[in-house]
Amino acid sequence: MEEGFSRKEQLAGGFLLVLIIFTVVTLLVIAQAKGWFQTQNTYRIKFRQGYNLHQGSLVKMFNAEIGKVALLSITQTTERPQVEVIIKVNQEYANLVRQDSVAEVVSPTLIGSEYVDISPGTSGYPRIEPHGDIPSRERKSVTEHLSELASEENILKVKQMLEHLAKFSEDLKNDEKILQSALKHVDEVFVSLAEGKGTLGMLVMQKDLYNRMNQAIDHMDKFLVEAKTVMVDLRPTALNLGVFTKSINQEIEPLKAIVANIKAGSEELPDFMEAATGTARSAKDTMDAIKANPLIRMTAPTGAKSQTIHVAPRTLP
Amino acid sequence: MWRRAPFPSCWARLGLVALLVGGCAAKQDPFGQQVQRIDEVSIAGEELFSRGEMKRASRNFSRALTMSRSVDYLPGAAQQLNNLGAVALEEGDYPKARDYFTQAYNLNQERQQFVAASVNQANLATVAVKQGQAAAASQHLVAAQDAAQQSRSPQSLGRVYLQWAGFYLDQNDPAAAQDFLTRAQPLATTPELKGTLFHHRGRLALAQGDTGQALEMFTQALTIDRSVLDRAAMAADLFYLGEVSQTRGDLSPAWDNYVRAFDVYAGMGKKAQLQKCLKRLQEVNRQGRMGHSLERFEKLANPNPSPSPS
Repeated sequence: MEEGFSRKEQLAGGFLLVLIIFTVVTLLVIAQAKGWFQTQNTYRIKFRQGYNLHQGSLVKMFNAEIGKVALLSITQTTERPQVEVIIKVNQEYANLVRQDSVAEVVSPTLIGSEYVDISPGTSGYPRIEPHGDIPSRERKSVTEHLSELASEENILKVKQMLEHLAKFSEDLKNDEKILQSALKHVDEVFVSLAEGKGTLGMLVMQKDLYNRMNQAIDHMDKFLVEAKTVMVDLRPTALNLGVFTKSINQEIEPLKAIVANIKAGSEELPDFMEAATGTARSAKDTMDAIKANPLIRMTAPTGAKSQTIHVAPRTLP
Repeated sequence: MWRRAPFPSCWARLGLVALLVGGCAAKQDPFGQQVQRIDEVSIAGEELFSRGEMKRASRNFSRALTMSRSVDYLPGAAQQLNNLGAVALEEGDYPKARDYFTQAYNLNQERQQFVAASVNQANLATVAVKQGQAAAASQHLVAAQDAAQQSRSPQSLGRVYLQWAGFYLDQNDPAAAQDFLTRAQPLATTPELKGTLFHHRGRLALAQGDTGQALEMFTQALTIDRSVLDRAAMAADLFYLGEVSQTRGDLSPAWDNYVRAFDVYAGMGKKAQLQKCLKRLQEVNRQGRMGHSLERFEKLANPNPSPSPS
């Protein structure tokens, strides 16, 4: 008996092998693209309700996908049942999930489905370990928004605003009447002006004023011409003034010198005064010494002595 | 040929030797010199005080007080405190005057300087009179009299008696005034006291209606007060001379005396007294229909008259 595979069998086997290899490569490429081989961290978030989340809902940060919802379940451990959402976040973003991160369910406005948005944590806070809880913030429902909007305070404000609007429109109506009457008056005034009535009308409509103004301008022109002539005449005087100023400056120079001398003299005055005081003091000391001589003291006239003043008023009637 | 220089006579030589010996006998006394300087400053202050320049007088007395304190010269300090009180009294600051006089009295009493203590009490009596406190004034005069008696100084006692007489004349009690003037008569030996004695005698005579005697007394008082240049006393004598003449109906001498009194008071800057003189001048001018211009007196008595209401 002949052992081994026939040629046909070898061909079929080779074809199958190639097929398997192709399938495996294709699977690997798809898995790579899908991120099946990426390592992910698991976290838990608790909400009061599920907000239409489902398995596979996106988990985003900075509006970029960082993971997916892995599992949703309702827990009844505390006094109030809660929805527990298990998410998986790619490990490369795990360092952004920190104690101050907050998870919130975001609803798109028109198209799309709800996703979990996680705010990035700051570096000052520690990381949340895998399988740890991310703090959550409940999403407000439309009715809650409406109830907030329709609060008593807001209603009151709107009411006041409407009242003010009504008053404003009322005032506008009144102002319109006043404006109309004012415009009517202005119209009448213009009619009067056009007819040359009143002082202003006469001024505006009569040619007399125009003629007078023309005359005045003529006079002004003549005056300016004369002024120019006078200015020409004044020029030599101004030149003389310059010479005069120069001579004054020349006269001031000796005065300055005199003042400087006086200043220098005044600087010496304290020394002079000091010397004079010293001389006077030494002269006094000499006189005191002479007076101290018993022979002179005996013959010298007795000087006045200070006394305690007696204020004896001689009162007038 | 050289001439021989004239040589001093024997007597002149003897005199020179005596002077030299006397000079050697003189001792250095720094404290005495300082006291003398204090005296000089104080005397200058008294002169300013008598001229009515109170600000400058006060400056001198303050300086003398500081100097006295700096060398522990207590009699000088007491004296300057009294003199500062006199300035305050003249300026009308009675509480300050009382304070100064009391400080001076306490210092003098501690050191048993009874003459000065008597003056302090007499001044305190004047302050009380100015404040209208007659009872307090008489108490101070009693204390002044006690101090004067302790001092055994006739002039001091005479001064207090004369102040008593003035006090009773102000109180319209001529009998008591007469009594004190009689007691003061033998004690008034200095010109100041004699002038005061004659002045008060004149006032007493005027109060008793004896204008002739009053005229004589005030004239004598004026003569004495002028000799010692007591300006305030002179002005008062002149004013009373004017009053005596006015009472006698001699309006021309009355006018003259009031004018002289006015001028002396003007020199001292005494506003209140100037007003009184002006009032009398207006009276005499009106009574005698003299027609004198009062503009000069009005200007001096009212340097800043308030604008008359239109």
